[in-house]
Amino acid sequence: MKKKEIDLQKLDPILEEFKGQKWALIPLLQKVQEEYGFIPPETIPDIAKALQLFPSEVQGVITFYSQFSLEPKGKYIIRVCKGTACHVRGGRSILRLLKKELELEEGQTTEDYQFTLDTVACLGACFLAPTMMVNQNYFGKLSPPKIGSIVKQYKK
Amino acid sequence: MKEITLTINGQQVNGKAGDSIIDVAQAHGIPIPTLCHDPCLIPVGACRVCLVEDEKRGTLTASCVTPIASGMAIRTDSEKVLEARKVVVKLMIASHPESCILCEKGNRCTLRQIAADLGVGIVEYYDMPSFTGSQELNPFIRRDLSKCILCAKCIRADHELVVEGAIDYMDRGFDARPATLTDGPLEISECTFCGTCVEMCPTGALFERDKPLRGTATNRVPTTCSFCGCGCSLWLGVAHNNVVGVQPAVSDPKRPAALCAKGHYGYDYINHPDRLRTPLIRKDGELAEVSWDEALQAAGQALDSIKKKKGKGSLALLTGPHCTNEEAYVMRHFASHALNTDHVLCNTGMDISNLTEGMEETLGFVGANTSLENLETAETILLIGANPTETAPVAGYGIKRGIRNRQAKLIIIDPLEIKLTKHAALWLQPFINTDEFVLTGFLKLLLENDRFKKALPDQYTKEVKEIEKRLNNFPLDKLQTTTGVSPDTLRQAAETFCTAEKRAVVFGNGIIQQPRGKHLVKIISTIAQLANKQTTLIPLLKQSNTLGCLHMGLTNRETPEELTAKIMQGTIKGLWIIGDDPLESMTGGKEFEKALDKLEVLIVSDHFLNSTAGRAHIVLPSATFAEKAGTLTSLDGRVQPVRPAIGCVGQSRPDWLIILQIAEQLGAPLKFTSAQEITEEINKRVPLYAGITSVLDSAEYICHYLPLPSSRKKTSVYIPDGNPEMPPPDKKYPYKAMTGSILFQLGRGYQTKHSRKLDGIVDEAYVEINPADARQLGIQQKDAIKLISASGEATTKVCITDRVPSGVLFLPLPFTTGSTLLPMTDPGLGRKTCQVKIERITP
Repeated sequence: MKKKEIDLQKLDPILEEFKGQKWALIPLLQKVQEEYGFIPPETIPDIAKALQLFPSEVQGVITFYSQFSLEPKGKYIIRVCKGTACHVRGGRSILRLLKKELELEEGQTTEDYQFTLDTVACLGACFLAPTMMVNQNYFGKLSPPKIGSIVKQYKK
Repeated sequence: MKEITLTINGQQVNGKAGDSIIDVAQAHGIPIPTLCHDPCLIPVGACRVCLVEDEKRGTLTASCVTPIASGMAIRTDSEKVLEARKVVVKLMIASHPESCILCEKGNRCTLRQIAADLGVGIVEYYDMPSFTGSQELNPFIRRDLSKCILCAKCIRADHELVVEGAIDYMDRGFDARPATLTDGPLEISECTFCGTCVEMCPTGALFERDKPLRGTATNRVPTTCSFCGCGCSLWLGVAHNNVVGVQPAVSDPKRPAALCAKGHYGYDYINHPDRLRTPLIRKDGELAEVSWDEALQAAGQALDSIKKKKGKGSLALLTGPHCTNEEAYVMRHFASHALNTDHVLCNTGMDISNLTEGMEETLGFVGANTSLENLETAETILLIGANPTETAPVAGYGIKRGIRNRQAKLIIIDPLEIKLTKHAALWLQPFINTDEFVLTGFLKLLLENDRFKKALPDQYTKEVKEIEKRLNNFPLDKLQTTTGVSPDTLRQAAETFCTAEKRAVVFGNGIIQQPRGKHLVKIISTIAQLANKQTTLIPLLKQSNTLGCLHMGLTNRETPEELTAKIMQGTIKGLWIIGDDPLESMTGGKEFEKALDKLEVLIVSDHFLNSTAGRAHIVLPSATFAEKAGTLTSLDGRVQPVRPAIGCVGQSRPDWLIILQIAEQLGAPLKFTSAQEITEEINKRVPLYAGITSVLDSAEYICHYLPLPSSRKKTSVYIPDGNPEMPPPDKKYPYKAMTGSILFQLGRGYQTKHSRKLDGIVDEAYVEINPADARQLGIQQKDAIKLISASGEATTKVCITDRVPSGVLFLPLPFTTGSTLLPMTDPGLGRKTCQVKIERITP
């Protein structure tokens, strides 16, 4: 996979907004992730400097929260639920189908940075089992044909 | 503070509001096991081993993070507590490798002790050892994170005590571990290898690399570190008459004990195979091993014949600022008594008279006006021409802790960016040797500050008026062009300095070694004098006993240049060098080399056959600080004991003993028979040192704070030149090469270069150059270049960094030894800096 080019200038207005405010690390990281789609590791020293934190501390927070990623993610992040209810109603097959459809393993991203396939312990929508999310959208009561059409909908 | 009463295990105990249960329990002799708690770290409640039962609420609570409350009833040993604690420990054991038998921590492992105390043996839980490989190349610290129990002591030691931020937790759950940025090895992180984390680690996850002994030292001896001027208390671990480890020692468990890489891991020079073990005498051009009797006799005869032939002042003694106070004292008496000479001097590798005269003539004493601890509590710190994180790391920790914990404001005046710069509120970057202009302007602006003016001491009213008058026409408008510092920044610096009552001023060789260093020291002293009484003033003296040598009357009598000149003239015919290697440690060692040829007799006593010793007629093996008794005076005036931990290596002898024995040979015996007797004599004869015999007590950590001289002459303030002249640049040599210390060597490396660990980490000569200059010269990282000065040249590797400004080069001191590049002194630039031009070497 080719490395994504990072435009570090986009970071400046974000750092300016939160400069010197230690408490604001998480909102800042969220903005950085919104801007780049992930948190480029090369931004860590600058983020740390702006908030007067150690770079290792910033890395600690990024790697603690699953919402943050240090690796480029796809434009669409698919999160398949692995909770009990979904499991009982065939969640495993849904995941298998998606893997086949996207040619991805869990946690991987497609070559064209279109899709990332992730799993989560529970999406909190058990009444819709089996479920998954694509970015902020829920998809429930999934079935194999439905998967095909959802993926198609997001493909370029 | 309000007293709070509670019961622990039915016993009524008292504590202060805010105390944790574990603190109060331990203070009353009730043990609570813990893995993550340490009195000098902020408690985090990570390990859960210290669980206790709150009987009234019926709940379990971590005693390290639970403050005491009135009427609390705590049980530390109920069945519920023990059961829960056992589960916690069993879970740790289940994810711990079964390698205790091979583990370097051995019986000192706290996890193992606690497990044994609880009767946890084979754990029935499913084993889930987490094996995280670690690849470290550094010579100091190894990590085996499979043994990590996530107590975060290493992380907190790093953040709270040494304030580096090299490591923090990474990832979560089973994957969580202390990691560097990018999870790489320590050597690519901010880690300075101080080893504080290694000392804190309760298990074998962090350990010292290539230790001479696995397991526990049979004996440990409290003593004082003999590298830099900080004077840290140490325990030397001893086994089989070898020093096998160093640990930081403190009197108060609440006071953080952090050493630096030098103090912690540089001890391997003590048992170095190259140590001189027998006396040597030059026979037919070669140094040959002889007995002590023969060597002493030969030395005695050689010195005696010159003394008799040439009379008073024909002999000289030279030592380094690492010798003990006792040796310095004896040396002086030996010189006048037995050698009939006044030439007895200490080679500090610099011109110390700038400091001694500058301070004497203003403050009436030399050295710090208070202890290093005050750096930590200062609210504003002015740091001028000093690099504490490299030359006096413990002072650096104090400054960083002050900034982190108390929001202290640091103002740095330095032409180069240093490690502390990123912590600084303000960085003034003057051109090289323009500090006088900056400091004079700073003083003027201070005197315009209301808060500063209000607190001016009454006794100087007249002088302050005079200064104000003199500085009235100070050309502040020329500040920017003359020094590169803008008047606004300087004003901001003056205002910041005055924002708080507790201030500190720290300066170092960057000031002292300038051609007008004496005036600079006077201006700085005056600033401290006029500021309020709480102002801490610390000259950052580099070596372990610079101040002691000064107090014993060695250092400021004569400079090494004057000595060299006198040898060249033929006035001095015989020289005995005690514990120094001037060929390497003196600025302009090459000039001294010529002088050596003029000597009729050269005697060197040292731990190693150093460069100078290689040219000597008689070489005497001397003992290191680990093998002898005595006292050292730290840069802040703490007199502390050095204690013999092992027998002398080979046939080496302590320098004080060698001096006494040669005095006997000369027929002028001194009355001492032990180092302790000399300490007692100093106690009696040197007024400032009255009371130091207390450090001879057997107590483990002990120090005697020297008072500020009570016989201080009338102090005065310095009235600076209203318009100081700055030297014009030399067109022929476009670059100013500034020398300076690096962390892993002390100065030019007199002792530290014999430590394989310290010497191994930075082993190639380099020079730092600004990226713009490198581009202009068409040179790349690691290219070999030639530096040419008026006195000589040197070949070195290029290290491109924007730490140095354009037109300036940084030369690490250890790589200036034996080079012809530096003249003894450059009248225009002083001793720290020389003018050079750069030539590319075409491969």
